[in-house]
Amino acid sequence: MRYIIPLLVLLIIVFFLWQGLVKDSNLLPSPLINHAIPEFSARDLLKNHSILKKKIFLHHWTLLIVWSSWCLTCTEEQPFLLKLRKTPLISIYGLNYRDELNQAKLWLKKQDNPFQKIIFDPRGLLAIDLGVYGVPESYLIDPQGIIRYKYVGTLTSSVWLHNMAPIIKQAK
Amino acid sequence: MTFSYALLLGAFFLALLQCGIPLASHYYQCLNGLKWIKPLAWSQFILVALAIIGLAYAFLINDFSFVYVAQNSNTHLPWIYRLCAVWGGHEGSILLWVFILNLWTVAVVLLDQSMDLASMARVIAVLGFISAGFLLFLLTLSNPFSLATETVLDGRDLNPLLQDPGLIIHPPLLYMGYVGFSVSFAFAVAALLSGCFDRSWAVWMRPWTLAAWCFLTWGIVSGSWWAYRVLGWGGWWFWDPVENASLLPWLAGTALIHSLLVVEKKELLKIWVILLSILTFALSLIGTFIVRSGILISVHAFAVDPWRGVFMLGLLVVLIGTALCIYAFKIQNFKQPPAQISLLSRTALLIMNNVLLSVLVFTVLLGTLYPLIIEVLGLGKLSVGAPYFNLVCAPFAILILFFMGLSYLIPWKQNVRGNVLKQIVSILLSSFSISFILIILFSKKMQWQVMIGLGLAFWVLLNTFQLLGASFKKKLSLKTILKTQAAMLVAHAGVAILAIGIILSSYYSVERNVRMSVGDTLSLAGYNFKLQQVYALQGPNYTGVVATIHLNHQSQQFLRPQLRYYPITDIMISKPAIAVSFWHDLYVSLAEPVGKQTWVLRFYYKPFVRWIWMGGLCMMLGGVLAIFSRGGYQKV
Amino acid sequence: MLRYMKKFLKKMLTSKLFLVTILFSPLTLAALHDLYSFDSLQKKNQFEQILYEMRCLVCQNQNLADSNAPLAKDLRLVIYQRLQNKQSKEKIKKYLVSRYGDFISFKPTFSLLNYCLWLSPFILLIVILLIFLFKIKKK
Repeated sequence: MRYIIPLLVLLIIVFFLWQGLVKDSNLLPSPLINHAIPEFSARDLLKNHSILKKKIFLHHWTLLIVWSSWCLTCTEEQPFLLKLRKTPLISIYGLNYRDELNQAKLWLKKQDNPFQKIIFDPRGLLAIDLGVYGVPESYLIDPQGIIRYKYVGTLTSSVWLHNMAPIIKQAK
Repeated sequence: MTFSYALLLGAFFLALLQCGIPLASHYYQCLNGLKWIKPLAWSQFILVALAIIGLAYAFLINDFSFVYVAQNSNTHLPWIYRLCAVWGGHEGSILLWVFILNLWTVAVVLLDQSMDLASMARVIAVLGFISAGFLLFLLTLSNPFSLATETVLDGRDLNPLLQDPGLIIHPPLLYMGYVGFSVSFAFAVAALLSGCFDRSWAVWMRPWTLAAWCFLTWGIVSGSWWAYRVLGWGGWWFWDPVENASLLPWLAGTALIHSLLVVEKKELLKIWVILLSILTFALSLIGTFIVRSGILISVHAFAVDPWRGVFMLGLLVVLIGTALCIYAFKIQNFKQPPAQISLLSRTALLIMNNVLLSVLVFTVLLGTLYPLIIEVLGLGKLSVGAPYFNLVCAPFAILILFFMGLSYLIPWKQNVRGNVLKQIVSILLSSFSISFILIILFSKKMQWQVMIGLGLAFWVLLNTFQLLGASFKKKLSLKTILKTQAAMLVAHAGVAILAIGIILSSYYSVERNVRMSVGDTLSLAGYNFKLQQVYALQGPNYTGVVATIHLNHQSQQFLRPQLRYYPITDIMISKPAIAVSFWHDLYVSLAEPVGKQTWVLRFYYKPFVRWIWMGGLCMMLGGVLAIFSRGGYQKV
Repeated sequence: MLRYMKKFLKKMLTSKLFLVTILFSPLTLAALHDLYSFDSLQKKNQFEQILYEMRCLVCQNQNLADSNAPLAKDLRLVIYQRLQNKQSKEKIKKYLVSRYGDFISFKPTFSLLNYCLWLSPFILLIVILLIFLFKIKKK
């Protein structure tokens, strides 16, 4: 009976290896889900003298998009974001990551601006505080300033419909 | 269908015959078919050899009609790397695997004159079965000869990190080791099938297992050396899943070669040998799977295709599962003499060695797969890396070094002389005293980890001298020593040298991350490094910059680290410059520019780092000596 | 035996290594050129230890010390600044894990979840040894 043990061990290992193949998820789950957005103080990209703080996220649902002018896939999100801007449900804010002021402004002119407010984060410090590790990324923030969902990658309408919109609906 | 593909198809059918004929002979009790075994093995080898030569030729003449060639080569690539690109990607590396498997098969056919035909046939049959499995993989999911649908003028180029002499030697050596353990696997399974496993099987297995082990040792050493030279930050082992994939069969293989000794001498540990043979090959296969499946994050960038992963997993289950089923059925018939092992005998020490190495295999395997297990169980996503492995493996390394030295003082015979305890204590004290003195003398600060590690390394070395001294006293001739003890002494001394290299380079390395302008001088480890100039450079398939750093020393030396940009693959790499010497390395790499004439550079002082690879090669040398020495079966 | 020891020591004392190391002080502290300069060796070691234990999330097979990715550079600066602000090594590691999850730490925590990982090698070793001792004693 004990001679079957090696075979059983093999099957257990193979099971985990097979599951690893099947699952194949490279995405990092964020530990900040259901935690409040951290305190910060940063410049507004478009209004030079204006300082933005955590309170801009309160009292309404926000979709925070992390983007940069040097990010090639960020342009793919633009059509969807411009469409979403028309909805009264949610405010769309941008976090400009590790970018140069003029390059960012130029990019917005070319691509059109879907953002109501843009936080300028040239050194990437607020991004680190949010656990950002690449662009583009999107955060769904509720009216109390709690992060409810994070998506890594180009935001599409299907991601919005299946993952983010239900959360807003449930809260109502 | 191309000609080369047809060759592989032919080889596949030959492999099936190679496996099927001995089975049929056994079933029908007819030994006539066995005479075809050797010609079959040779024919299969020739077909596969022609196929791989065909692929190499395609690379050399830049035949981009093959998708594989177009993906891994380029007309500007130097010819030697075009040749080595054969194993630079997934499909070609599997073809290399099959080729080396057939190489080992014909080696067994050619060189093993002492085996009877029936036993040899069983071994070759198992090897044929493995070959058939891999050839099927090549034919269906990993075809290196698939033709491109659209012609390209030039290929995608080989990954720049692979364009290094390391690519020429590391993969072939590693594969020779990995695949070589399929031979001991075949012997073990054949022994199980024949229903007997006695001393003669152990004697037959030993040279093949040792040879595979030597190749794997050399392969791992060359891989570590390659990473150190190319990756730009002085590291030589990262506990990366792919590195662990090569370490695991090595650890199991080491346990195996020691267990074979015990079987030869005492006819014990037979079950260990069979299980270890199966385990070592299983670990080779798991390693092959991990590297190509993409389930673990690693340096290796083999193209990830889930179907390939599924096939390899299937191959693993079929090959190892079948072997373990045969084991479960047949092992009950194995008669082992009752073990009479006294606690203080060399047999007991070898069992201790086996236990330590086996637990290490378990530990490294668990650590490597743990992130996967946690994720599959839905418990989150975590990492297990170098800090864990270094911490957990250290105690095992300490124990292994201790028992290694101890084994020289305890002979094969069971009665241990009374003054052995005195000898142990005196040599132990001497080793730690030397270690203590050296540490105080050179670093003025006591670090107990270094003290223990260094002390144990000296423990092994002093015991080596002691044994040699005893042999000279007994007036044993050099020839006798070479035939009986030299292998063990050299291999274990290699381990001690490796340990010294690891401990001293880990604890006494110094790193400086600096911003330098042209004309600045940095002083580190008693040397002065002056950045003299930075100028542009042009290579066959890259452009870049090179810095000239003047190192003040008796022999005026210039270090030239480079930053290279490869336009075809759009990759930038930093190529470090190393001033090599017996006692230490001085390592410089160029990080990035921060202005017109200012650069960020990394400087490393790495004492005794060469000892790591010298120790490894010394171990391999011990293994080579062991192949030609008398082995365990001798009347002492 | 003693003869060997004497020979070995003599060789060491006259070698270049000796000359180099007595001149070399491993305590090369804050110098003009360093990218990250510290006022104590302990802080420098802590810095190197944290970098060695944290994964770079862009080049995921490297740690923060080796990676040249922009995120790695930013994180190095953040860690450097926190150390200069006298934050402890544990606090800094905790901060990084709170933002990026356990994945960023190469050293798994010694928590209930990971007891199996940290202790099983030693437990397994002891169990096997006990089994062997038991078997040998039986005979």
